[in-house]
Amino acid sequence: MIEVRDVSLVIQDRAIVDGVSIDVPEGQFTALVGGNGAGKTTLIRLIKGIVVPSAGQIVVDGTSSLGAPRDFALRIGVVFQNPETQIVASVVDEDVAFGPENLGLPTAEIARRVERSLKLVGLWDLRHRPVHALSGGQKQRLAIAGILGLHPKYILFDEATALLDPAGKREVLDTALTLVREGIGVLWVTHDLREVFGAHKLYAMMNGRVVFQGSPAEFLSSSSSLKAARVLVPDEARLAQFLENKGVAVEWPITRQRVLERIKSLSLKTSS
Amino acid sequence: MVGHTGSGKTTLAQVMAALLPPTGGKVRLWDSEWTYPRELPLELRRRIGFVFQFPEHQFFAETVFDEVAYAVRNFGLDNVEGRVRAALETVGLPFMQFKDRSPFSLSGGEKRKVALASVIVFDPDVLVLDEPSAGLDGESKVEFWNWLWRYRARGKTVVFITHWLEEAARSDKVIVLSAGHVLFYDDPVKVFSHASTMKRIGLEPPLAAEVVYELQKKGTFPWVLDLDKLLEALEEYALWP
Repeated sequence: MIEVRDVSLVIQDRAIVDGVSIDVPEGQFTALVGGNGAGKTTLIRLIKGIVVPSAGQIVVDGTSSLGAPRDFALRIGVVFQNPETQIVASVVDEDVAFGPENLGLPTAEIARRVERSLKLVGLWDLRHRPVHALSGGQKQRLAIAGILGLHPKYILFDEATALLDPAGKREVLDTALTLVREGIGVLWVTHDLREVFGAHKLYAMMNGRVVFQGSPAEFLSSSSSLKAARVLVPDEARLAQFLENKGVAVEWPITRQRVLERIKSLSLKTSS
Repeated sequence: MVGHTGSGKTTLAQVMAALLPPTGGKVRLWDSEWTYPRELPLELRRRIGFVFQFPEHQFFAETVFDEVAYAVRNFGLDNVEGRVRAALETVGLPFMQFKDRSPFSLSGGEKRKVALASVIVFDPDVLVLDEPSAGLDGESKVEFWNWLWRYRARGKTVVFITHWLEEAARSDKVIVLSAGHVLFYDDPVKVFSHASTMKRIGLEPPLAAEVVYELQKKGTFPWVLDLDKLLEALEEYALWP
């Protein structure tokens, strides 16, 4: 488990992150939402150890990350927003091999990790493809595979779907859910609540502070929290609420598929 | 303008904005027809604004103020500070709080807002936006749409690219691109009635469109594209248990 304990980051008298405590357990999908400039990306940089907190501590698997040995950093991977800026090699399998090679692992072990990582993200069949020929969603999955090659226990996704088309968004989210089932702890940052209805736990940030923690369903029913996190209630959730008020309940977590199934069960006053 | 990744949206948008010359065909802007952007008189080119997809690729100034003021100074317009202040307030960034910050120190969403401010600051008559709402939080998206709507009401032309078809459904006309071709160019209701084609080319139709599509198989149900109207129509046309 990653335990963030009362962490702050103050730069030029401005608290960008202000006394934040959150948990990212293994094998769970944890969601983080909040408006532009709320401190989400800075919190991710703090957890990864790119910046050092002004106060508080980050405990990973029972050990404080401050002053921890180098291999400690390998337990946590980060997937960023832009698919164009996270890939180092020109061919898919070489990109995944880059990390393990830099750890000085034996050739056979590198090959084993490349195969396993690419299979987990569903890119094994494209392993010889040039990187420039991949779609945005495939590039993000390659970035994930590059992290998996380092055997992380936790992966932090910083609006990793924001720049992708709908098919790409689904691919990356599905990959993250697969990794959760494999036991990896995922922290998922987004502005799109539809992506996190199934989350084990949701945190919302505003002005550097955590202003809500609880289940996605609780969050959805708290209008003050929704406002603080500057998120929109997805159409799927509004329609599900309408249907429920009419006595046609939609099973949680709400998905477009589930809403449409309920719609299909309706009858019209003037049927054809 | 909508379409899957690689369908040609950004390229077409850059041609429209006189940033790229087409290898065939011509573009007409007001009374000027051109193939090479330089054939377009400078005073017309100054009436076109383009906001790129990746704001961090277009920043170069040391402060948000200088970044937004660049076009104003470059075009020799008056009242630099007033215009910069108004542009920043329009995108929801308080002037005093942001003017002296480095654009590179901002969050992803704030960078997008500064990129938008740096273009709307010279009040272009044609505004072309490459995925302007990607990365904006929900409230900022609503504020942006409201502003865009007021801009259109002033007689301006707005072209914007999006992957979010709920957003496209608010426009006057929708262009759907697929593999470099225009698949549809029509009113949103007509375009989104082709729900199965939308899905086939990797686009997610607005939820309301998918609901209408299902219900029209069953009987009489009107075409609506936004959720409020859908809920009203469900109230009126559906039989409830």
